[in-house]
Amino acid sequence: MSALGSTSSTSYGKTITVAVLLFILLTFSFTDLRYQTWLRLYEFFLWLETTPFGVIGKTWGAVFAVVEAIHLLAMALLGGAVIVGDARLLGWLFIDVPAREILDKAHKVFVVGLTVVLITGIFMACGVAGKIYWLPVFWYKMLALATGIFFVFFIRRPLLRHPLEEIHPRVTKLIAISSMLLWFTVAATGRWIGFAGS
Amino acid sequence: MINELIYDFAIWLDDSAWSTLLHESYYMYNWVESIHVLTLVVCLGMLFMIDLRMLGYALPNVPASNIARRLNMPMLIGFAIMFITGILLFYAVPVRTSQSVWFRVKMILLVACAVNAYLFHRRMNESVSSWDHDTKAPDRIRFGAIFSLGFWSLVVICGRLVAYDWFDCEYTDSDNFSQLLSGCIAGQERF
Amino acid sequence: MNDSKWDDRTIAAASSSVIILGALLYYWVGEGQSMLELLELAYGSVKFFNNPLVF
Repeated sequence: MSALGSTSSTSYGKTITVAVLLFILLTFSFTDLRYQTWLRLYEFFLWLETTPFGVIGKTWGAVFAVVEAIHLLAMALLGGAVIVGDARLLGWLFIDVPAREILDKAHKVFVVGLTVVLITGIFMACGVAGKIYWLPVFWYKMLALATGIFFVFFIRRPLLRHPLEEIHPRVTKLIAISSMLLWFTVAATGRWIGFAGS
Repeated sequence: MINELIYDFAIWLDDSAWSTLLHESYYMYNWVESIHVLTLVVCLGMLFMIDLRMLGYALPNVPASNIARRLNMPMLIGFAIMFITGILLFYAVPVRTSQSVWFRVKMILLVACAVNAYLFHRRMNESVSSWDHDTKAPDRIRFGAIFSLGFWSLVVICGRLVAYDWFDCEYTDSDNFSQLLSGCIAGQERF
Repeated sequence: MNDSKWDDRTIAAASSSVIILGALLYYWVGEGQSMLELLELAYGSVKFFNNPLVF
């Protein structure tokens, strides 16, 4: 039995969830469903531009620019936390410090960074909703971001509640590498939104 | 006088073939720009971790010197990449950038960051053994950390604002204040 | 094998990591290929120092 009591050794809730989500995602991607949903979201994106966030973002370029800069700064915080945590998992940094210590504290910084990134990100999205709706790179970024949030809170954190010695070392390395690449992708596709629209 | 020198230097850079090539190439320019921005995560991410440790917010149970020593290398690597790509970005658009008030403020702030970093390191090396395991660093170090966070945040904000053309010499012909702010040259023909 | 265990969380973590890595690799390789195709289309060869969006 696990210490938290939520999962017994015989339940496979998380594994099944991952499988179901993968199935839904694949169905979504390779059927007409994706296109239909995209069409229906157009109204929503037009509405986003009329919200206070959208109006402010479109009216005052200076506000938009400063929010963008805060978005970047929060991204640095998020990225710093990801790098420190993953580097510890890979054994690159702080191997003399207990992993629990690094991972828990880095996660707290991560949550602060993510919160600010999300709030400023929603603000920016409202200001340019009519533009980003048409950019594939925006939708890839959203998919990567959603995957990242799911991965961190549903997969990575619960796994790391185990003592690190009890986790198979290859699994530890695997989650560290996929996490770094995933957040890199979120940041890189985010930057490309700016280029793709011009 | 100094504005003329800067302008002449920018024109000289602008005249080189590679500057134009870099400026006009979609992938190369955007890659350099992306690398510049994404390395921010490595450089400032590490720096923020160090600063937040000194303030007692991040990793309070790990010795301060341990954090500073370990994160220093990735931070410096990130900084070096940002520095090189930053020079390339300037090189690609020299005239407009050198006459951007945001860019000028950013350069001054970077000098402030460097001085602050130097003082921070010196104070830290002098005294760290006496407070290494404390959750919060002493006041002097904490001020250094706060200045570091503040200066670098302003650097990022100014950097972001360089992209906006509110005070550009090219578009503010009749606006004397903007012309003064951006160090425009009377009758300049290139922007 | 040591005392590491393959419980629900571990299997979920391993499988989702593999899926994520595969998907990201697929995405980035695809992006690279479409970029090369665009450059090829624009110039008949791969030139990075030019703007394929301006003919």
